[in-house]
Amino acid sequence: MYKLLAILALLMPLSVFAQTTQEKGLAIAKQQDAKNEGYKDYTNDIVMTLKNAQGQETVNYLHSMTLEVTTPGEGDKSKLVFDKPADVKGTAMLTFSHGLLPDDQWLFLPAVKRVKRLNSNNKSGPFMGSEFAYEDLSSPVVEKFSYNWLRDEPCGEWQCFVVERTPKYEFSGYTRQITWIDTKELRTVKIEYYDRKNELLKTLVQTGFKLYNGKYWRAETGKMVNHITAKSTVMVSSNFKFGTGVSLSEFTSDDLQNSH
Amino acid sequence: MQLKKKVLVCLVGMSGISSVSSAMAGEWTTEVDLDYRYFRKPPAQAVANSTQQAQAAAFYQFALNAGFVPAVIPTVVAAQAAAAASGAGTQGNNQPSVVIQPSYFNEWADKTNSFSFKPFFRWDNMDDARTHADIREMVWTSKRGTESKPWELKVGIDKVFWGAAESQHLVDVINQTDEVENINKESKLGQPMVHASMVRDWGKVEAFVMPFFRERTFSGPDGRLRPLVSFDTLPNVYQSSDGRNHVDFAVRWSKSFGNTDVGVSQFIGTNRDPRLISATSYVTTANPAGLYLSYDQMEQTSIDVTSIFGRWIGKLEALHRTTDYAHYYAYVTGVEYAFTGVFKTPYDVNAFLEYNYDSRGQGQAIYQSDVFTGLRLSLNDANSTQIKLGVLTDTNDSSRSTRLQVSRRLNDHWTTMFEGQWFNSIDSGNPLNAYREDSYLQATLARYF
Repeated sequence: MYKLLAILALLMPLSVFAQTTQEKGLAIAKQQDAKNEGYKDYTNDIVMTLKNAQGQETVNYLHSMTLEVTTPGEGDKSKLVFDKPADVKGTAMLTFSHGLLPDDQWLFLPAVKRVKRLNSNNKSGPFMGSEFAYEDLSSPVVEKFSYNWLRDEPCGEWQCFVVERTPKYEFSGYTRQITWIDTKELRTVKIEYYDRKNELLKTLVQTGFKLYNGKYWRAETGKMVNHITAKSTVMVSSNFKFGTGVSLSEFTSDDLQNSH
Repeated sequence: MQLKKKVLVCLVGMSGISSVSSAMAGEWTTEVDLDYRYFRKPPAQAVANSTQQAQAAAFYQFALNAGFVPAVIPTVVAAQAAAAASGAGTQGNNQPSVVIQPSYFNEWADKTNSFSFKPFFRWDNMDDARTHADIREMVWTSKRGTESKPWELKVGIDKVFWGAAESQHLVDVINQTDEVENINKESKLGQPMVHASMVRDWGKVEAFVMPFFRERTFSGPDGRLRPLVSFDTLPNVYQSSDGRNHVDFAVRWSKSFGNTDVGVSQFIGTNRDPRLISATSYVTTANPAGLYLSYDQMEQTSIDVTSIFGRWIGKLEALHRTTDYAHYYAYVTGVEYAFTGVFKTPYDVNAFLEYNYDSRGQGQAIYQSDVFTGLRLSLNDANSTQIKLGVLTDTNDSSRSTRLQVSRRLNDHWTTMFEGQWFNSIDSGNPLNAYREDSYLQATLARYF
């Protein structure tokens, strides 16, 4: 009897930690997702600086609106509006991100006042000629990837989970991504992107994290470096405003033409 | 000449406004385009040494060429007209022009109200009819209703686009075409309207009331891309006794069902496409055939659908149109396929294939049985370089119209565009015959302020 209890006692902690590395990776992704819940909506301004291998810079200005969708397995609704360069001013892109289903995407072209349905399967294409692909900017949905926790290690001044994730959606440009997520606040510090040949293509490093509404962390700077072309893009986000009360009707394809 | 003066006065006025813009809450931006069109060949002429009969036949063909519903034109009168029209105008081969397009936007009351103003001016060196001004937009937008039952009201001059296809804009009917700008029907004149819309779970419903009609613009006697007789010189006649003050109505329902967007629209009012006919009462020395353009009353029912399947996009536009003089249906349907990252580059290539049908038949409509093939190459670079190529081929007479467009941003302020339009092996019975000598190259340099 005591023997049995002793065996049980030995097994108990094992069953608690008898988590595969896949389960642990998924659990981290879910925790990270849960931590971001309830923000309702936010707006921010973006300055995107493209640098080519010769160091020549191109600067684009945008602003963005994001609306939280609470349906499980569904991603958020977001709107990106171009401010500069002047020839694309007023161009606006609306994305309804989904889990495994392709995102719904529309583009508004102000010159012809036409809203065009986009083929969001062009996930691996560059966004505005930058080193960010469309899929890198898509709102994170847990269901989009399968996960595998690799190890914990220090990342700068923090301690990080290192989690490998593999896209489950179609038409991704990547075989896998390795993410560094800090163990305390679950902020994504770094992502390595591996292309279809499984070679390291790009690295994203996020810095300048700020806390909003006492709960939501947002990075100020994301720097994406392409290791093959030596080009880089720095995306600086500022002027975050949470709970602005933007309504659902502003996230319709027809309302894109009211974007300014 | 008077028009040119008007434009200059307006320009001075504009610069005055922009200088005080910093004091106002709104935001001004301005686009200035320097355009140069070059036509390789001299304009089409009436055939010399032909018999009166041949001239008459040729002229009748030219009348058809504009793509309007034809009417019987008395042979002798038509022959006279053909003779009178030949050699009219001073059409050249070089057409420089300048466009100024300011844009003002302001919003207030927590962004629930806004005002947008977009005047347009073009000064054209060759064609006085192409020197023209328009208000593309001057509209007040107001978001109204409660949080759970919102609706939107737009009052003023505005532009509305309906459609899905690339080869033509078939169902797009709210705005009149500014055809003197470009024969591709993508330039539209501002339409005065009251426009209410409401979005609910069952989709979006819109209602349009349009109290004032805009007449189509055409190349003048000195301009290119026109039949032997410039339609710009012809009298405009309305079927309705209200004339251009006839109140037109339209309603539209649209909804997005996951991968498919659908719109169904009904329009009742003055036909944006004029009908070319003749009457002895309009005969003058300048217009011996008594030609005139008639804007009839019409009803149009249409549907437009866009549907995404993997790398494919399916498209459909279809309409049925009824007037006292004709009832017909037409559609354009096709697919777009996306090749991404071709040749191990970041380039995207989109391929288009569309079929156009019009029940009015051969010689009566440009898109009566035409296949459109197209390619769009996006370099996805920092300069947004894009190349578009489209070929429209008539399946009956093999007439071919080709358009190439290239655009590239130079820097934050300058963008270049290039357009080439070719008409090849155009059959004499094809409506495009009027343009057979009018293949052109166009370069545009745009500056943004």
